[in-house]
Amino acid sequence: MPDRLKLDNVQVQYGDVVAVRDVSLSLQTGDIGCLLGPSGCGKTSLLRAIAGFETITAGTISVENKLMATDAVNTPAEHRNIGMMFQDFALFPHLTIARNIAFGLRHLTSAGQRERIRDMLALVGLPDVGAKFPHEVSGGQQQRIALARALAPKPQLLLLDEPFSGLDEEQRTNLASEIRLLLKTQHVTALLVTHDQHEAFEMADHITLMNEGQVVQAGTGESLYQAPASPFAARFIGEGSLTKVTPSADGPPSALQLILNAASQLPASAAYQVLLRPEHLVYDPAGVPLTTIQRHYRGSHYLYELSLDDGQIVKCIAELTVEREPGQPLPVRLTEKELIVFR
Amino acid sequence: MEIAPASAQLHPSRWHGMAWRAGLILTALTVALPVLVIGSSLFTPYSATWAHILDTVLVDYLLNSLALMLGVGIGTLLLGVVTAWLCATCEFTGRKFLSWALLLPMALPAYIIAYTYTGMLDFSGPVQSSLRSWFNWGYGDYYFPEIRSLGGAICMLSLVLYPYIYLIARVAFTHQSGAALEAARSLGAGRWRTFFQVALPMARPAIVAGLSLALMETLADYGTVDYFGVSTFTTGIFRTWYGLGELNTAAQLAGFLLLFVFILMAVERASRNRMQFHTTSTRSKIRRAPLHGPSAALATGFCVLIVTLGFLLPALQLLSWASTSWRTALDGQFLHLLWNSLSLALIASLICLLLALFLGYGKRRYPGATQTGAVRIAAMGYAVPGTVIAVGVLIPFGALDNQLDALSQTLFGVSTGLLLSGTLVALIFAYVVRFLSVSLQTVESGLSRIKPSLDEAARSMGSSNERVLRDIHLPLLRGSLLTALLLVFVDVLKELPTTLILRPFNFNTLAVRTFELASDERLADAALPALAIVIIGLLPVILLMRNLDKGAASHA
Amino acid sequence: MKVLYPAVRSAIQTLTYALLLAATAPVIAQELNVYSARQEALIKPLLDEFSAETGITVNLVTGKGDALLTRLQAEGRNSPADILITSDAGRLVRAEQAGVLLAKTSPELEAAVPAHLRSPQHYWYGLSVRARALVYNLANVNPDTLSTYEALAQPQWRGRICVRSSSNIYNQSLVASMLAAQGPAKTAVWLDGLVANFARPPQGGDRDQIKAVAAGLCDVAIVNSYYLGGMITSKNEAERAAASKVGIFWPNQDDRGTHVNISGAGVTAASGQPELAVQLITFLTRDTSQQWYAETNNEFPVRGNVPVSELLATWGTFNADPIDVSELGKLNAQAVMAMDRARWK
Repeated sequence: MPDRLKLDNVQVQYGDVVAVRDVSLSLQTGDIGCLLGPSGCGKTSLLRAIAGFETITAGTISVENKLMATDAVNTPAEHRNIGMMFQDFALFPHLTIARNIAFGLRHLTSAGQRERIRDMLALVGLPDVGAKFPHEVSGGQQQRIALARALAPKPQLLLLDEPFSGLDEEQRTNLASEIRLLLKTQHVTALLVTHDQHEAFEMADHITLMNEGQVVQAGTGESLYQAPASPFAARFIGEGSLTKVTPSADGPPSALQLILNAASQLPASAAYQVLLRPEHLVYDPAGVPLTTIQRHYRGSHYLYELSLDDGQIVKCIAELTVEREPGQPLPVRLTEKELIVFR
Repeated sequence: MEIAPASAQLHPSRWHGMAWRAGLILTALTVALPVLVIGSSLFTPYSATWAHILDTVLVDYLLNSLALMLGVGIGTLLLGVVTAWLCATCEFTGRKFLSWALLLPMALPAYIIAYTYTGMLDFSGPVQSSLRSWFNWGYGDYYFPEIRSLGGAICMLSLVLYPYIYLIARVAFTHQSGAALEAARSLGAGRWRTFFQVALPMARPAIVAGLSLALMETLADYGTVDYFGVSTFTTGIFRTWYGLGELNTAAQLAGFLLLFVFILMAVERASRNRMQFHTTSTRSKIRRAPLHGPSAALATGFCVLIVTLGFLLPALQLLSWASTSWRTALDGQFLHLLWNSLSLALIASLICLLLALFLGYGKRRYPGATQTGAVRIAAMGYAVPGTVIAVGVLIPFGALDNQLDALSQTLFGVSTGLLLSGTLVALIFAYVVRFLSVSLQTVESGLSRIKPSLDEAARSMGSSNERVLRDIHLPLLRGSLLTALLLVFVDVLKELPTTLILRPFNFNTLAVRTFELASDERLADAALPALAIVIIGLLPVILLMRNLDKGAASHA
Repeated sequence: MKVLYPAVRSAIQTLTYALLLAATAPVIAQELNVYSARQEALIKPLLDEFSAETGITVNLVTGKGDALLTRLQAEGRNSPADILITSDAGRLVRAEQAGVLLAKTSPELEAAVPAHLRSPQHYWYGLSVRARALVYNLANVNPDTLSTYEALAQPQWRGRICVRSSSNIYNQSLVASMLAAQGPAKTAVWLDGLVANFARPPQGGDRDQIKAVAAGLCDVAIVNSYYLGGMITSKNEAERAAASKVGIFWPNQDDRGTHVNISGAGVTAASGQPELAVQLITFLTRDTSQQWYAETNNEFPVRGNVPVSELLATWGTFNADPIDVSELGKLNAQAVMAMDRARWK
């Protein structure tokens, strides 16, 4: 089976500025992919290039083995059969919701259109809003309508540009899992762009992490979290602290060294960085005491920010029974033996 | 929650609201006074002349006026929307220059462009004379479209009125959400369908605002149609007044014209229904798509052609006339004329702008049927021929002055004479009545692009109405305000009939001078003041374009 | 009673002028205010001359006759205007009927203006005479075939006549004279014939009709003679060339004479200084003024004994229709309706 979407060495350039450099990735039918990265990393440019709104200066983009774009060819967006959901939903304010959805259904008869509109509205759980105008429904509803509109023409691929950024936290998590379920049951192949790792974890089967126009690492959420391949990935994914370790020549060992004594296979000499995630440290009355900087309440537990001797911050998860005020010491112990190390 | 005592004391903010509402209605009604005076003639007895008018000329008047409106409507839409779309969303050779050059025809009064084209294309003009001498033709040997006809009038008016649509629509297109257009394309719509089904409808309030200005100007036009011998409703009003000497019947005709405009506006509003046109986002700006090859050449060619026909040719004709006559025309009085025209236009446009801002913002903040109705009536002056407005100003001002005089005589035994009639105050008031609609439309179209949530956000942070207006709306409206100012400035500069009737003693403007000479059929002598109107009209056009470009750059 | 009036008024004037940053509010003892339908260029020089001679300042507003009349009416008894000048008799008759004019007379005026060119009740006086003549193409028309306005309705002129719109006052006044001479029934028939003979729908001004004749678009045009005069003396070469291709013909010389209208003046009822106003009108009818109309605008003097300009002399003398011009004013509305019925645009 061919890849639904395949990018080979794609490059997007604005004048002299290279926004996307040498990106290759592929997406299987029915998969949900995600381009994750900080703002300005080129993920949106890449998405727009796939949609047909940007021309690429090198490489190829193909969908179902059909070439969509090279440095010479550029199939217009309207001929790609790629659906897109926009950050601000981009619903047409002058059309009713039903007519918004019908916009991409010109190939159907009017009876066919009505049926499809009904199905789509039912699918997104808003069966009765067809006659309303977009501004007459809530933000979350607008988003579902935007999804219904994009899915109505049965696109080969659905692109989602920061689909949840306009919504509040609660709506965001609910909608993300809801939409994932919907896309999966409808067997939609989708590519999502976001800067929010939680959204990426919630939605995507595969995540492509980008930075400065290039792919940094690709894989499942778990693999990115557990095995970051670069300091950037380590910093960007999860709440861990990339902590510098410098071997001290003489004198008493530092608090960090005392903690790391529990780890195995650490480099013997020279300076290196070690990734300490919050769950790697736990409260242990017999552990190494660190100074509390801040305490965050997380409902089921506390997240502590603790200071090492040299001022570096590490994070630690603790039971709600462990209460320390800033300035007070909190003794901790390492739970994970296999730590991620960058030399 | 505090509950206000039943009647003892109103909450200060409610006082505030009432003051705004009252001010709004009072201002609107004052401005509407001349229109109401004309409209009230509909309730006076109808003279026997009506039977004659109905029997003989009314059908002609109606058909010609409708045909003229239809033609100018199509013409200005075609020219205005296409050029606005090209300049806002495409990149082609000369776009930057053309995007302001396309405004130039606005500086030309319709009657002047009519004179110049008649001079060029008439049977006895240079074009046809050359054709005849080259091919040895005589009269009747060849076909040449008659410039002085309904078609000719449509062309002339379209050429000078399209900038109203161009200007407002270009701003609307520029500020349109790029995402909505991309969404349409990702749903399989090509460029054309995207344009017709998404971009155009979303720009509809702006386009309609421009179109209604153009159409009202068309209805009010007297100079062009009179010169071309086209009997419209407006020439009919004058014929009834001047020829039959029946001012009241003429006012009744004007009243019906008003009624027609009112219905037209109501129909348009009703058809908008619940639709909304707020820009969905300012995040995704439209990026100009570069045109290549034939389509780029076509775009450049089209815009160049319009600028040439609408400005360059007539201006050259004026220049050639002026070159024969400037020595006599450029006398000591000329500077005086210049000054009078300039300062009148500036004052009137500033007052219109302030009033438009007050009414537009007040209507948005305190919506209500009474306010809306009052503002709408106040804005109808634009469709009324200037002469009729002048009569609508003369009568109430004269009555007021004479009442004051009588009162003063009985109370103090002294006569106050005419305090306002025949002063510049009356003239400027008439300009405001006539042109308020222009600034109001532009300001309202600008306001409609600002989401109400912005007002609410600012007010929730404790801003007063005035502060919301000053700190939120004014900066966002800068483009619209400048546009409003410019449009009225140029309109007043060109304005003729009202000025003619209401001006004080020994007070002339460029337009008056142009008209007097032109109406005596001394076109060559009229060319210099006409050219001056055009040149002064250009200055604000250039200023505006520079500012709009700067604004666009700083937003990008 | 006008004690407060000048002070307050000039205060407002000053205020508005200050708004315009043009601080010119002249305060002069003797002033006359004139509403004129004659254009500034065609009256101001004479008024200036009057001021130079008498020291009386004359203020001027020009505009269309009916608009000025409406302004007079609206301003009522407090109107600042002392004199109304119009460019046809019809407007003066309307002003007289509206009661905004004052009957004034003086032996000088009576002597200067012939009885048929002034108001029988002394409300207004003619200043200059404007004749509605025929202009023909020298190459295509033998002047011997021209005779009267009536004859222009004959079928031989089918498609050969140019004339401007019936909204024009001079055409209205011509038809009014036809009504007076021939009665409504014959006038209606004449109008039908005339309209059928038009070479094109009426359009443009009188000069345009002359140019159309010169270019061969039509053979005969009905125009006011001074427009031809203006073209002959024009600075524009094309206009002079066109004028050289046409001849002028005075119709109806064997019966009532060529139709003429007047420009005239009357003292307003609101005038505070009617004697001064009469002085100005008298000045406007004296010999040198009469000559000025002829020389500046090729109009004819109201009196026969005043020498006309060189150009007018070359056109020869003609008999003018001696009908009382106030009659024309009264028939004006009837004339417009008759033209409406004949579909003269």
